[in-house]
Amino acid sequence: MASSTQDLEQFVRDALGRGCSRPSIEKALGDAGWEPEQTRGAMAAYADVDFVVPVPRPRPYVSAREAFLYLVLFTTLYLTAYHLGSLLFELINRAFPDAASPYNNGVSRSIRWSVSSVVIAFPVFLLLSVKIGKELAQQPIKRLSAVRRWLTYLTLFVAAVVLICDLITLVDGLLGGDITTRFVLKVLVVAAIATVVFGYYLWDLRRDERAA
Amino acid sequence: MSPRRGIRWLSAGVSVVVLAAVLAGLSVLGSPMHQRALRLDTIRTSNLGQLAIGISGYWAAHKALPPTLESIDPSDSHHRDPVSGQPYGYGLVDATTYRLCAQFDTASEQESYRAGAFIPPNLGRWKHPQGMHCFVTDVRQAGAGIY
Repeated sequence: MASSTQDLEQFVRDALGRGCSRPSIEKALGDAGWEPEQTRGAMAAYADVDFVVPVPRPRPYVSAREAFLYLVLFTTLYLTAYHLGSLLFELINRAFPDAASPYNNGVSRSIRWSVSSVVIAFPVFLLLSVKIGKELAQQPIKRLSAVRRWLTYLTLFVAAVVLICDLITLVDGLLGGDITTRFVLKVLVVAAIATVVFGYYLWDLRRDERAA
Repeated sequence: MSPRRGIRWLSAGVSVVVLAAVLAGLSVLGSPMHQRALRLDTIRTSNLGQLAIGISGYWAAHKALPPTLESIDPSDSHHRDPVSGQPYGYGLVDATTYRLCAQFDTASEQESYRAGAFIPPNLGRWKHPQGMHCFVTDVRQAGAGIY
């Protein structure tokens, strides 16, 4: 997703106003040294409608309601992902008790809290995802919302960091000869959760960029 | 596969995993009544632990076991069952061995940590089945007064 500068849009507006054809404007910009993505972004700001003056296309605006929806969506996503991981960790601890750490063999207090969190946060997350999906289907311009994009990239960042730390833990375990079934299963759980979150939201962002 | 169907499959898969994990967690926890019984039993073993400390302190001072629980701590704060209010059972087996008894709601679980319990980590000392159970301790044993 490229950003267009004020000058660029002003230029396109003036050129369209004088009746220049779109391909000629694009060629002139390309010759001047602008990147094709930036050119496309500026051209897309004005609709291909026959009118005396160039007609601007609708743009997404920052809305507090949207910020609320996306914040709740990603908060419940983080809660679900973290507590699902924590729950699976405790179940793995129970299934493969380690004599070397007797206090880590499936703490029921932790299981209780994780189950409670997942039971509440996951359905809320699903409902919000469906709701937002419907809104996007009706008004695809909302895909370009800044709130949506920033929070999605933030989630990608968190998932990427989690994945990197997980791999570091794996290598560290390998070097330390710490490879038990318990350890490997835990590494796999973290990798699976982080990869699913990362993969889905990256795909979602690509869809946004194609729709732009 | 169209995007919508792909998303449907993904959410179905994730929901199945989440549901399986939640059910496994619930089966480990047992019913809420069971959890409450475990907590009450923890309070009971915690009380008995404090009584054991008091008994060892009495032994260190008097070189004899206390005749009744009141001799240790007149304030009576942890001499009674938290639910029924009955005093804990206390008796002498011989000059250096005593017995502490309580009525337990459920059998102890192989749990090394429960939030909020006074029980320090001495695994196995306070294992008990459901119902009335007595712990027989020799007061001269190392650690008898510690936990």
